Amino acid sequence: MKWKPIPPSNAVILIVEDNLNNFILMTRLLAFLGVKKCEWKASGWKVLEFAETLGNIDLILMDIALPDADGFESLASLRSHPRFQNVPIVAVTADISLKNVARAREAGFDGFIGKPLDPDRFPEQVRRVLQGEEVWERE
Amino acid sequence: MGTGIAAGVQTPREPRSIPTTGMRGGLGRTLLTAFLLLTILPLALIGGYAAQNNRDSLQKEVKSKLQAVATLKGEELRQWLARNGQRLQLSALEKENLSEARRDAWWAGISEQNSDLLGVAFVDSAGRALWMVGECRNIPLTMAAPKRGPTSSLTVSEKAASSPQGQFVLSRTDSNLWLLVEETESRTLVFCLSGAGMARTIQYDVLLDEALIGKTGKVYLIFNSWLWPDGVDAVMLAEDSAPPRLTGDGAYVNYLGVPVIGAYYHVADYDIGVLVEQAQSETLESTNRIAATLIALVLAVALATTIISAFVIRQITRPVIRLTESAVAMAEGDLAQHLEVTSRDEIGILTYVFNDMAADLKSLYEDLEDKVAERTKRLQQANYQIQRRALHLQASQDVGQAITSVRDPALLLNRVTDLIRECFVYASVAVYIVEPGGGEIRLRALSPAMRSDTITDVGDQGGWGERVYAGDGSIIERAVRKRKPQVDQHQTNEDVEWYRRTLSRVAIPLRMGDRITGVLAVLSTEHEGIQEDELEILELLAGQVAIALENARAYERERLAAQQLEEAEVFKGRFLANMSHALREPLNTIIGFSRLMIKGIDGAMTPQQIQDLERIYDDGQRLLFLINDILAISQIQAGMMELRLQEVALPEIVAGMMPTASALVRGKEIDLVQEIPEDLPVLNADPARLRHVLVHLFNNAAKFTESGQIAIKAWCNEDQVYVSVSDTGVGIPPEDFERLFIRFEKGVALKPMDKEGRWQAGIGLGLALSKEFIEMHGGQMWVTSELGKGSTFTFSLPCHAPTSPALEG
Repeated sequence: MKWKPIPPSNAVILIVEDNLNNFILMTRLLAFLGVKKCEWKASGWKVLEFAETLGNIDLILMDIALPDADGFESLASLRSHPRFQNVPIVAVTADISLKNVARAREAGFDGFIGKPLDPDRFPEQVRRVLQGEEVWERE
Repeated sequence: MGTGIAAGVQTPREPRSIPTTGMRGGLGRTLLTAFLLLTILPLALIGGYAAQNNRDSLQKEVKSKLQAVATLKGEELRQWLARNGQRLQLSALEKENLSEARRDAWWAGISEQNSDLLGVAFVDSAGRALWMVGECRNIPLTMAAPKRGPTSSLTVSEKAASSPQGQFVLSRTDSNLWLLVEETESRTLVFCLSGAGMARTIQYDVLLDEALIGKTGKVYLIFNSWLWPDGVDAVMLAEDSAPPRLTGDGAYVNYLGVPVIGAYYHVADYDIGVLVEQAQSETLESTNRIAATLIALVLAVALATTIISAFVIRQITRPVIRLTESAVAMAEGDLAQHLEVTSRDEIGILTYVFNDMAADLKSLYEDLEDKVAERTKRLQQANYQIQRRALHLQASQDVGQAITSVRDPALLLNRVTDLIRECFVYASVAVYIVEPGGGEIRLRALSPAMRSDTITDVGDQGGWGERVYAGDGSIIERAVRKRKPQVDQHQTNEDVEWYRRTLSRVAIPLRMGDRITGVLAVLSTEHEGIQEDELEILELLAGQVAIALENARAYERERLAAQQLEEAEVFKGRFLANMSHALREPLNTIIGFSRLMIKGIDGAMTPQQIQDLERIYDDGQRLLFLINDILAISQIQAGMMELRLQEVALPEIVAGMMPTASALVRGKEIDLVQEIPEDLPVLNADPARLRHVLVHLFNNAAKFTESGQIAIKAWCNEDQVYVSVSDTGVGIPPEDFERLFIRFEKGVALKPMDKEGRWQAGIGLGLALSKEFIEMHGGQMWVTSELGKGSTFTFSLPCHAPTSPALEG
C-alpha cells in the first residue's frame, strides 16, 4: 500500500482532462460516490502552473491523450514536483491496448481505467483506489 | 690351327661416326672371319695332312732302311761268330787229352791269337772238369749249362743234334764273361771269353759302318738283355724293353732318352741281336722342314687374306656407313641428303635408291608442311569462328542474365548496351524506344555513355541522334517503319588502306508481339563489316532486349501497384485505428450521461424518458462494440493484436457468460441449453477473446432465432476441444457460407435485417473477428446450417498451448 486510504467524502480529486464533457461526467459519477471536491485542469502543464494554488490533492485521474504534453510526460513532470510525489495518479484513457496498459504500468501510473467510462463500474473503481488499491482495467 | 690364326688377327676397326646410335659395325668382323675360315682352314688341314703323311712315309722308309742294315749286320755277326767259333774249335780239336805241359803251350799260343779269350775248359758228361786253362778255373761249369738258355729253349743235346758238326753255342754268364760252348756226347768244351772284349771286337769288326746309317746312326750289340753302346760298358736294359720292342713305326725313346727310330735283328743261332737306331731329329728333318714351310705359308696366306678382306670390307662398309650416317641425319630432321654414287654394284644401287627415297621424302615432307600450314590456317579460321560464336553466346547469356537480374528498365538498357558493345567490340551500341503515339523515337541507352553536356554534335554520339521522328528517313526510323533489320555499310575514303574502315550501322527493331517497341542500333568500324551470323545473333539479342524491356516495364507497373496497395493498406489500418479512437471519445459522453440519467443521478425521470434513454444507451453500447471490433480487426491486420494466454477452464467461461446470454434472449421463447462436460481439459487461451467469441455467437443466434432453443455444447478428443453454438433460427443459405466470415472491410459484409427491417449492426464483422481470434489460438471455425431449421457454429481449440510465436504474449 503506497498511499493512505481516505474515505471518498473527504477526498479531493484532480482530474486532468481536455474534454470538458468527460470532466463533467466524471464529476457527476464521483459525486454519486460521495466525493465532494473535484479540481479540473486541462493539461499537465496547467497542473504544474497552478500547483501552488491547488489545495491538498488525494488522487489524480489523468487522461493520456492530452494537448501540449501527453500523459506520460505529464506524469514524469508531476512526479518530479514535491507536491505530487506521493499522490496516486491513475490513467484514464481511450487507448486500452495491452501495449498502452503495459507502458502505463512501466511509466509509474498507479492504475488504469479505460474509456468510455462504464458508469456502472467507475464509482466503484475510484472507491477502491481511494482505499489504497491499484486498479488495472482488463485484469 | 686355322681358327687359331684367325682369332689372333685383329679385326680392322671402322671409324665410328654415328654418335646417335650405340651400335657397332659387326659386318667387317664377320666378313673377315668368314674369309679367314674359308682360306686358311682348308689350307691348314691339307698341309697338316700332307706333313703327317710325309712323316709317316719317311719314318717307314727309314725304318725299313734300318731294318735292312740290322739284317745285314746281323748276318755279318753270325758269320763272324761262326768263323771265330770254327777257328777256336779247330784250335781245340783233339786237344782234350793233351798233357799239362802241352796244354800251357797251347794256351799260350791260342790266348795270344785271341786276346779276348780268358780260359778254356773241358767238362765231361757228368759235369766234371777234365782240365782247364786260363781263368776258367774259377768258373763253376755246372752253372754254365743251366744258364745258357734264358733266351733259347734249346738244350745242349738238342743243339748238338741240330748241328751234327758240333756247333758252338754262345752262352752268357754275365756282362764280362761269355762262354762259348761246344757240346758232344762225351765231353763239353767251354771257351771263356771276356764279354767287353768280345763286344768291342764285334763292334770294330762287324758293326761299325756309319756310311749306312747317317750321322746319328748307331748299331748296338744286344746279348742277354745287355746292350753295348760302344763296346766298352754294357748297359742292362730294362726288363720290359729288352730287346727294344719295335712297334709298327719303330719309333721309341732309347736308353739315353733320345727319341729314335730303330730296327732289331735277332741272330737266332747265337741268341744275340743287333739293334740299329737313328735319332728321329735326323730322320724327320726333312718332314719338319716341310711343316715349318707350311706354317709359314699359312701365316702368309692369312695375312694376305686379312689385308685383302679389310680392303674389301672397307669397300663394302664405307658406303653403308655413309648411308647410315645419312639416314641418321634424316632421322634427325635434315632431309637434304644426297650421296655420291661411287660404284655400280649393289651398294651403288642402294645408294641410288636411297637418294631417290630421300628426295621423295623431302618433297613429301615439304608437301606435308604445306598441307599442315594450310590445315592450320583453316583450323585457325574455324577457331576464330568458334571463338566468335562463343563470345556471341556469352553475350547472349550475359544479356539473359542481366534481363533476369536487373529490374530497372534504364539500368537494364545501359547494362545490355554495354555488354553487347564489349562482346562484339563495336564502336557504339544504342537503344531507342518508340514513344507513346509512335511519332517520336527517343534514345534511351547509349554505350559508351556520353554526358549530354559534352555532346557538341551528332558525331560525338557515334551518330546516334537524341530524337528520331517518323518519316525522317534515318536508319532507326526505317527499321521501325519496315519492321526489319536495316544495315548501312560504306567504306571510309582514306588514302592509306590501313586507315580505311568499313563503317557499318545496323538497326534492329525490338519486336513485342505485333508492336515495335524500339530499336537496337549498332555502329561497327571493323574491317570486314557486319557479317551475316553476327546479324542473326544481334536479332536474337534484340528479341531478348524487347522481352526484357517489357518484363521490366511490367515489373515496374506491378511494383508500383503493389506499393500503392501496401501504402493504402497501411493508411487504412492507421485510419481505422485513429477513427475508432476518435469515435470512442464522444461515445464516452453518450453512454456515460445516458447511463447517469437512467440511474437517476440527475434526478427522477418518467418511465418514458428512461425508456428513451435506454435506447440511446443500448445503441451507444452497440456502436462501441462495433468500433471495438473495427479496432480489433485493424490491429490484427497491422499485426498488433496480442493474446493474453493463460490456463482457462471452459465451463467457467460459459458460466460467466450465461447472464449476458439470458439478457440477449429476454422476451423471446427460447430455451438456453448447456451441455458442457466438467472434465474438459484446461485450455491455454485468452479468456477475454474466448468470451468475446462466445458472446458474438450467442448474439448472432439470438438475433436470428425467435423461438426454440439455443444450445451450447462442448466435447473433446485427444488433442482438440470443440465448442458449438446451435440455434433453431432462420438458417443460412449454403451460398452465403463462404461470405459469412469474410471481413467487413472487403465490402461483402452481410446485411442481415431483423423482422422490423433494421440493419443488425456488427454481425458480419463479429463473425469474421471471431474466426480470426480462433485461428490465432490455432483452432478452426466453421458453420453448418439448414434454411428454416437453424444454424450451428462450431470452433475447435487445441488442448495444448499454441506454439506459434506470433500468438504468444
